[in-house]
Amino acid sequence: MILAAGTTKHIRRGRGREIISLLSRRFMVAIPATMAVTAGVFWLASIAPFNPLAAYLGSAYEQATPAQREALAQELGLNDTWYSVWFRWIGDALSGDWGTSRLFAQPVATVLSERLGYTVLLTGAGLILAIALSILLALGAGLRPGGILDTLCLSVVHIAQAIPPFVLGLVAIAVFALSLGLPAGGIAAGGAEPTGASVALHLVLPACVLAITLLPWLVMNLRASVLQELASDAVLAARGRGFGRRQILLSQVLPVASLPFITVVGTRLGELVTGALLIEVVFSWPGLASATVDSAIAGDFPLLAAVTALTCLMVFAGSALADACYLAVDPRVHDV
Amino acid sequence: MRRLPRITPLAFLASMLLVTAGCAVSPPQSGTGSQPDDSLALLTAALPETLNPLAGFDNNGTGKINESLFTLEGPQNQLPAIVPLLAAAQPEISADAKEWKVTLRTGIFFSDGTPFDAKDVVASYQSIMDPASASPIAGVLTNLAGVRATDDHTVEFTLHEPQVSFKTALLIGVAPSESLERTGLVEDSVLNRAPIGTGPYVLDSFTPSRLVLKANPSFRDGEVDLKRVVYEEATDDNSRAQRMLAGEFDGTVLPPRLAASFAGNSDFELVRATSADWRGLSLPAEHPLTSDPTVRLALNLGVDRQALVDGVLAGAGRPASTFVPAAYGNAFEPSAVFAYDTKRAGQLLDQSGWVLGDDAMRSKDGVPARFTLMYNPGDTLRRDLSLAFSAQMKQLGILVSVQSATFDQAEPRIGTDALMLGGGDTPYDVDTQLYKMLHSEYPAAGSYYDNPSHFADPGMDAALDLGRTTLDPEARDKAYRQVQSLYVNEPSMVVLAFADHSYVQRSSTAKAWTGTGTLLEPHDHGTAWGPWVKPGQWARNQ
Repeated sequence: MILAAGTTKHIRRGRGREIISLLSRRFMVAIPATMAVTAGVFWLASIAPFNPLAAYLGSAYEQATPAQREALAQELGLNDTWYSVWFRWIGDALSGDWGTSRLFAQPVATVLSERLGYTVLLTGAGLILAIALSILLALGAGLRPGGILDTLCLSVVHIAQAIPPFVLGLVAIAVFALSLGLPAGGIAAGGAEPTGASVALHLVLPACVLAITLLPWLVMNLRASVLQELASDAVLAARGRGFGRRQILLSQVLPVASLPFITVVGTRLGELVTGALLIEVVFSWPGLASATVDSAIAGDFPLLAAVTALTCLMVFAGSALADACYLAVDPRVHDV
Repeated sequence: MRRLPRITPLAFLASMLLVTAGCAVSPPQSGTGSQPDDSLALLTAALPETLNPLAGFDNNGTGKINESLFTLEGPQNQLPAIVPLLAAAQPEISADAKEWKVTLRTGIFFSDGTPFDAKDVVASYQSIMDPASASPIAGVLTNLAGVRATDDHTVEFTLHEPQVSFKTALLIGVAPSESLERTGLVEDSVLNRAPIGTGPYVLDSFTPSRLVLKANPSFRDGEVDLKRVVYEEATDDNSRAQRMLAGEFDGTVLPPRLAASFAGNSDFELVRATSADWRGLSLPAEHPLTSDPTVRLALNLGVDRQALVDGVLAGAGRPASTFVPAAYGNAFEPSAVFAYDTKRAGQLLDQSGWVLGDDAMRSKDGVPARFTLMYNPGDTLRRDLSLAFSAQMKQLGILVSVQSATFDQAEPRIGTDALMLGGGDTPYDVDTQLYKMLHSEYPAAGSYYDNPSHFADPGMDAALDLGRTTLDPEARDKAYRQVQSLYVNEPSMVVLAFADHSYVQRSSTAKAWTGTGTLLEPHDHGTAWGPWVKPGQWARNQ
């Protein structure tokens, strides 16, 4: 990678244009695809065995006569076909009105703004922690394949993959909260108002548990790339020039091995939200993920559609950004 | 991947160790409660979706923000009396029990400063009755023909049919008429997130996982002692138990089994609230086996209700032979119980022609003795009761196959398949507890779940109608005792148990305050009930 300064600049400028073109192309695909996905959600929710009127009435549903139910369903617009509901929703949504969430009895935009921040905080912290941990573990494992560190790292990620996230969460509460005094859930001590410090302290356990659930994919992928790269000609040449193992890992192996890793991270962004769901429930974290399931069960169309659209856009953004990073860091790549 | 087999045992062992560690109940830390003394922090399974009384929030006379005309008062294991709250006195009821006149208290103000008067009561009730509001509790007022203010402090309710138990409909919270002027769906009302009431508490904040109430500074009797009530949401049962153990909260609601794990712990007390919340199964009228009155009686005699209470409810309940628990006092008939008697049950089955075959199962003229029992898939208690009932019936030689079915799946099959039901949503009068389950007008006049076995008996109808219309309390009690005696002679369902509700409270909270008693609870419950049902009446112990 020894290039003249002018050439680098020229390539950089070309890269910038390529990245912008990539992102705009992806954006053009993402918008209609997201609309199609929301339509799919409305259709699926309409054929799902959940009964929105039962969710609305609660225990009064069993006491309502068929005539009363019919009148209520008419009044609430529950008898409309899914596509007419969807057309109404998409029209309103494009004009900036996201509707009212029946489940939370407030505008969808308010529900999203109250909760999205917490989910982003949790998933962001979990993801950063997971990336940092997986780089450390994979490099450590790659340092001596088959050695103690490698075996330990592999067993940790296999255990992490084998234990369901909610069990891991409850175990973490039992071990770290009850005996070590870390907060067991929520965002503030019982009865107290949440503050920045209390949120940060309460974030520790859920973010760690989320990171551990993300770890297996990331570590296994990065470790495989590291091992593959260790066997490459470039590493052989570097070794021949007398570089130390540590230096080879950091300067030769990691940059190349991190390329497929970026793709994995990008594609995991969507799954991150679903992974956060169970964690949010166990730790009573006031985020959006747990609201998604509730809204699906309650047939709360406006909220469900808004959350799906957001998740969908996040997946597109994740893979587009990952590919853009690819363009930025790997000079060999031109067309993604 | 060649390495995999070697590490798998290690991984397995380590994960078992972790899981076991998670199951072991760790000792609680004492003295970690950091909140000030005059506040209460409760861990709740679900926060209310809305705080609007007209949408059904806290509408059993126990509203903390929005008070009702009447409220509930009584010891924990008796039917509470319905006593005036915003009403000045007991209602004046016409001889035919169709005209109800309620005089209101004067000098009461809403938390926004507007005075409380008859207009507010009329607007609140009319808003619920208005079909355009689609209020989920409109069903409670189906018998109400109209409500009007005769002067500023008198309201008259006119009913379609005579109904002495209409008093239970006067437990709904009252909102100011000014906030009800705009008509429309109740789900769009501003009161959902910003309630205005006359009660001891006002809303402090309502965020995604926390609802905070604070003492109403302008409450008519002065600010209450307990200044702040925090409800924090934790939907998962195990999470609530763990966080309660961690010592940050004053109380929570738990399923009986998890609550029982706190029993030997001196830092916490286990509170069990009596309820009229029954569970039982319908006996379908169009099924050859379950439509036979002799078989119906045999099924009632052949089920060991105490075993169900001990096993399935973990002791948190009482066996139920009829819909009427002992808490109803004089309206309860002590002799109306089914003794557990498998021998007599067998004889009755033999008599009706359902005889044992070689496989120890019964049949009649080649038709095997079997039926399907459906339960709501979301309710694990109903599932477990159904399975236990099925196991007991097998001993009698009857095959009961248990199946989960949603409302939509179960309703068309209710004539031919049995259904595990729950009731006691409106327990504050014996009439509302019983009428729809036993009167022959139902289910035609009501929902799928009213009188699901299509029981029809003129004597029963007469007793129920007398109880509904007579203003003489003794005649009422007598009529209802007769209802129970008639029922045990010819049962239409198999009522199994009353499920009590389990709460865990920090011992120091119970010691520091008086007024932490429970009320007889309806089917719906949570941290708005239990020992925390009336925090506005708590007084600090010196």
